[in-house]
Amino acid sequence: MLDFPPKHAHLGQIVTSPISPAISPAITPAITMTGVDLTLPSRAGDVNILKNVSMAAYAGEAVGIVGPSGSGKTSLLMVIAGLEPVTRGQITVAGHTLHDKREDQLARFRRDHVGIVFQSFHLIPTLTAIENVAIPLEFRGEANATARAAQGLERVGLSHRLTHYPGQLSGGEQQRVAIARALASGARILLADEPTGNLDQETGNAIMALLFELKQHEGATLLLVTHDDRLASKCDRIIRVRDGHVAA
Amino acid sequence: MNLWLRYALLNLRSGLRGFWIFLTCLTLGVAAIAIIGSLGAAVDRGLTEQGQPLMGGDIEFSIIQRQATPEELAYVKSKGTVSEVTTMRAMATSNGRSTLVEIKAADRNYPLYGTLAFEQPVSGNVFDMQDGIHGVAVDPLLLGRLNLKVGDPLKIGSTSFRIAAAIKTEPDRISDGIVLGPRLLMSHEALNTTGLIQPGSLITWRYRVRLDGDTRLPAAKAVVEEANQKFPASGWRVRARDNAANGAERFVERLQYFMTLVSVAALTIGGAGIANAVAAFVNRRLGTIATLKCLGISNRDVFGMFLTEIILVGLIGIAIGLAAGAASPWILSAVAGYLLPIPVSTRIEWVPLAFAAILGFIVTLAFAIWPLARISHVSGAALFRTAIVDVRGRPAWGYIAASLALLGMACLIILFSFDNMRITAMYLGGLIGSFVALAILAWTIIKLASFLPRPKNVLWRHALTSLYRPGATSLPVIMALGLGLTLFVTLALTDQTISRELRAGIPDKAPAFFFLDVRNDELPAFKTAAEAQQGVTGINNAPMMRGRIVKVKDVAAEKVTADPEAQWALRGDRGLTYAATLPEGSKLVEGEWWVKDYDGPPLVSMVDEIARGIGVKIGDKITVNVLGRDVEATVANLREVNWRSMGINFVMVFDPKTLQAAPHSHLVTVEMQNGDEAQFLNRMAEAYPSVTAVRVKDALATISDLFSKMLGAVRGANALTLLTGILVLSGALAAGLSARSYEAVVLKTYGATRGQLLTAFVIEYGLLGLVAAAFGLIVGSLGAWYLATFILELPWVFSLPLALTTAVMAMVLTIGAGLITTARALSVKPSGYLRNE
Repeated sequence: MLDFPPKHAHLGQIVTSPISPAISPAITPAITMTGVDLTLPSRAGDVNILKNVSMAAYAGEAVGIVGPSGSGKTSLLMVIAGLEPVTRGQITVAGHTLHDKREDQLARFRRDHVGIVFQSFHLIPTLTAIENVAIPLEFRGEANATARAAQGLERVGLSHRLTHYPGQLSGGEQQRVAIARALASGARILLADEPTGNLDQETGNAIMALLFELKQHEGATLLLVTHDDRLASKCDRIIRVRDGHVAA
Repeated sequence: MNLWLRYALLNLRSGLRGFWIFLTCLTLGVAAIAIIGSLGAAVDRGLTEQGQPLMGGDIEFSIIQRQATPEELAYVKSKGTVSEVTTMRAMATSNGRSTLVEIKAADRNYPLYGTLAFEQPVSGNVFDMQDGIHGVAVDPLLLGRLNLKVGDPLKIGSTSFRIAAAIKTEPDRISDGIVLGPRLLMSHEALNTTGLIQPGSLITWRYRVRLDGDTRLPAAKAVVEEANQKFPASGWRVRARDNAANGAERFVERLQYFMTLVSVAALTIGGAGIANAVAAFVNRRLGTIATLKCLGISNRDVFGMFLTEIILVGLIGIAIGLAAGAASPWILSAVAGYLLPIPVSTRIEWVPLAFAAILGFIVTLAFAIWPLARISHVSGAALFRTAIVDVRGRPAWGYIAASLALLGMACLIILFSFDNMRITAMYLGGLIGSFVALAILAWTIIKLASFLPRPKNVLWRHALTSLYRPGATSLPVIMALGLGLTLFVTLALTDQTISRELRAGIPDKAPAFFFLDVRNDELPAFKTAAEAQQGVTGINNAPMMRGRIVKVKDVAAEKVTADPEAQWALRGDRGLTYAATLPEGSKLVEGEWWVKDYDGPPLVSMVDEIARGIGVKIGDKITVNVLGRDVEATVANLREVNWRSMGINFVMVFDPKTLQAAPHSHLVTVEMQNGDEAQFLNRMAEAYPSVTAVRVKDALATISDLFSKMLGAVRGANALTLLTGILVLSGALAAGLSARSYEAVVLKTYGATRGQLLTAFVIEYGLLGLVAAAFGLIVGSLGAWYLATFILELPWVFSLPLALTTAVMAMVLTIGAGLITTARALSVKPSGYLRNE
C-alpha cells in the first residue's frame, strides 16, 4: 500500500470533493467508500442516514467533514470506524474491507488501525491518564504498553500528569490524553469528531495544532468532523455532507 | 496478571460506591445460609462429640415392656461395661398433691460417661436406704411443684421415698427425648419396691455399654450393625452415640431444613437485587463500555473485565456472609449457650460454609450474566450520540444458556443437599415458577398499558404512558415488588401458622387427661371411680402395648423407602391396640372391618396416610415386634383419623385375637368440663398409685415450648429474608426513580409542580404496586400453604385480612419510601442539573 502525503495538499487549500481530483487513480487510498447507504431503524420507521456515499481519503491526508447538524457527518465517521454496519455499499479502510467482518474482527481492526478523538474526550473515569492510554495496547498484548503510553503522553506534553485521573485534569489535558490514546497503538487512521467542541478557543487551537502536528509526524490520515469552517480550512480538503449525501 | 483481573482491580480502586445494594443482597443471602448451616452443623457436631455423656454410653440397647433375655444380656455384656437404666412415667404424690414424674432407675455403674451432679454436696450414695427408706434424687422443678424440700418424703406408686438430693446436672437427660414431667432418679432396687413394674407397663429398659478397647464411633457403629444382625427378632433399638439426642437431631434437622429453604428464597430474591444492581452498574458504565469498544477491545474482553469486577465485589459479599456464618457458633455459644438444652461445638464448619459460598457464587454469576450480557448491545457509536442509549433486549442465547445452566446447577446442589428431594424439588419449582409467572405478568401488564386508551387527565396519562415508554422500569419494579410482597405474605402467614399452633391450646372435645398403665384387672373400678368425680363428662379406653414395625412386605423396616411424612411410623416403638369394632373417631376409607368374632390369621388396620407413605396397601403383610415376638399381620383395611382431636388414635389396630393374650395395660382418656383438674388428679393418683396420668395441658405446654423455640429461630431467618426483600425493593425503586429524575427536572423546568410530579409517580407506582400486591397475595398464600403443609407439617392457617394487610402495608411502605427519595431528588434545582447535562 502506498503511504505518502498527497503532493497536491497543503494547509489552507479547500477542495470540496469526495475524491481528491489531483490524486492519481493508481494510488491506493487509505479509506474508500463506494455506494454506501446507512439506514437505521427507529420507532417511527427506518431513517436513511447516508445515501449512496462514495469518497476516498489518502494516506497522510487531512480531510475536513462539514455540514449542518443531522446531515450524517458523524455517521460517516462511525461507518469508517466499523462502529455502524452499512446497509449497502463497500468500505475499505487501511486495506481492510469492513462489510464482511464480524463484531470482534472489527474491534481488532479498530485496535490496530483506527484512533478516535471525541468532543467529550470519553476517557475512562476510573483509570489514570497512563492507564487510559495503555489499555488498548495491553489488550493487544503489547509487553511494554505502559512505557509506550508514557511516551505517548510525553509527546502530548503530559508527562507530569501520568497518574492523574480524568477528573483531576482540565478539558484540554483530557483531550490531550485522548489524542495520545488514539495514536498510541500506531493507528494510521485518525477520526476526530468535533475535538474542540468542548474547549475554549485558545485551548482548542492548541489541541488542533497538536493533532495536526502528530498526524504529520505519524503520517496518519485524519478525518475531522467540525462545524467550524476556520478549523476545516486547515485540512487538505473538505467534504461537505448534506442530508446524507456527500456533495460533489 | 490477567488483564481482566488487572482492569477490574483498577476500576475498583475508586471504592465500592454503587455496589451497596448488590453487596448487601448477596451478603445477607449468603450469611443466612451460612449461619443456619453452621449452627446446624455445630449442634450436630456438639451432639456427636458429647454423644457419650449425652447417651450415657458408646452404645445403647433399649427395649420396651420387657427386659433383655439372658442371651441378649450376655451379648451386651460381652461388649464392655454395662449400665442398666430403666425409664418410665409415674405419679409422685406428697401432701395430697400429685404430679407426673419421669422415673429413671439406674444401677451403680450409672453414669458410664459424664457426671451426675447435685445442687447440694451429698455424702455417700444418695440412692442408698436410710432407716429402711430408699433415697431418690429429683429435678428441683418437682420440689417446686409439690412444695417439697430435700429430706422430705415422697410417694411413688405404693412406696414412700426420701428426697435425698436435688439434681443439678443429669448428663444423659437429652437422650430420653421429650419429657413431660420432672426427672426422678432412683436405684433399681427402689423401683422394684414401687409395684409399678407390671406386665404390659410402659417401661423402657436401657442397656448402655462402655465398649472395651476401641470406643471410637466406627467401632460403636459396627457393634450396632452386628447386634441387629445377630438378634433380628429381638425388637430392641440399638443406637450408637452419634444418635444420642433422641429426637433433638430430627427437630434441629427439620428446623434447619425449613430455615435453609427460607434463606434460599432470600438469596434468590437477593439475586433479583443483584440483577438490578448489575443492570444499574452497566448503565453507569455505558460510556466506559462504548469507549472500550471504540478502542478496539472485543466484546469478550469488555464482558470479561466487567464480569471479573462483579465477581470481585461478589467475593467480598460472600466473604462477609461466610465470616458471619463461621462466627455464628461462637456467638450463639457465648450469647445463649447456657440456655440451650443441647451442646454447640465451637469450630469453623467448613461444609455448610462451602455450601453457602458455592450457592452465593453461582447465584451471583447467574443473575449478573444476564444484565452484563447487554454489554454486547452497547455500541461504540453511542459515544457519538447524545440520545438515550437503550441497552435492553434479549441477551445472546449463549449468555441465557449460561445463566440457566448456573441456576440449574444451584438447584441440583440444593436438591442433593437435603434428604427430601421431592419436597425440595416442589419448593424450587415453586420459586422458579413464581419468577416466571411474575415476569409474564409484568410483560402482560406493560403490553396492556400500551393498548389502553389515553386518559384525559394529564397526570393519569403521564403515569400510564410511563409504564411502557422507552426506558420504562416497570418490569424490574414489578419483579422486585412482586417477589418482595410474595415473600412478606408467605412469611407473615407462616409466622401466623406457627403462632396459631402455639396458641391453639386444646380442641373442644379433647380429653383433659390420659391415664397410662391401667391394668386389665383394675380397669372397671378405675372407670367407675373416674366417672364418680365431679366434672367428668366422658371416659374412653383402649388396650395399649408397644410394638415396632420390623418388616414391611418382607423388607426390613430400616431399608424401606418411606415418604418423609410417614417415616416416623417406622422409627422406634409405636403404640398398638386391638379392637373388635372400628374405633370411635376413625373413618374406614378402604377395605372392610373384620367381623366381631374374627378368629383367623392376624389382621391389622392401618392409618391411610401412613400406609401410603410406607408403600403398603390392602392385602400386604406387615411384621411388628411385640414384646420380643414377631407378629406378621395382613393389612385388612385403611382408616382415616384426626390426629388433632387428641382422642385415642393408633397407627395400627389389630384384630382382638392376635394381641389380647399378650400382657398389656389400658390407655384411658377422661374428658372434663368445669371440674377441678388438680383435685381430680390427686384423688385418682391416690386411689391408683401405679397409674400414670398425663395432663393434656401440661403435655401441650411442653410441646408449645418447643414450638416457641422454633418460632424464635424462624423469625430470625425471616428477619434476614425480609431485610433482603426490602433492599431489593428499595434498590429497584431507587433505580427506577433516579432514571426518571432527569425527566422530572425537565418537566419542572417547563412548569410542572413537584406535587404534580409526585402525584404522577404515586399513580404509576401505585398501579405497579397493586399488580404486585395481588400477585404477592395469591402466590405468597400458596407459598405459606406449601411451607406449612410439607415442611413444618402444621395445619395451614389462612387469614385474608393478615395477607391483605401485609401486602398492602408493604406496598405502601416501600412505595412511600421510594417517593420520599424522589421528593428529595425533586427538590434539586433544575439549573444545576441541566447545566451539567
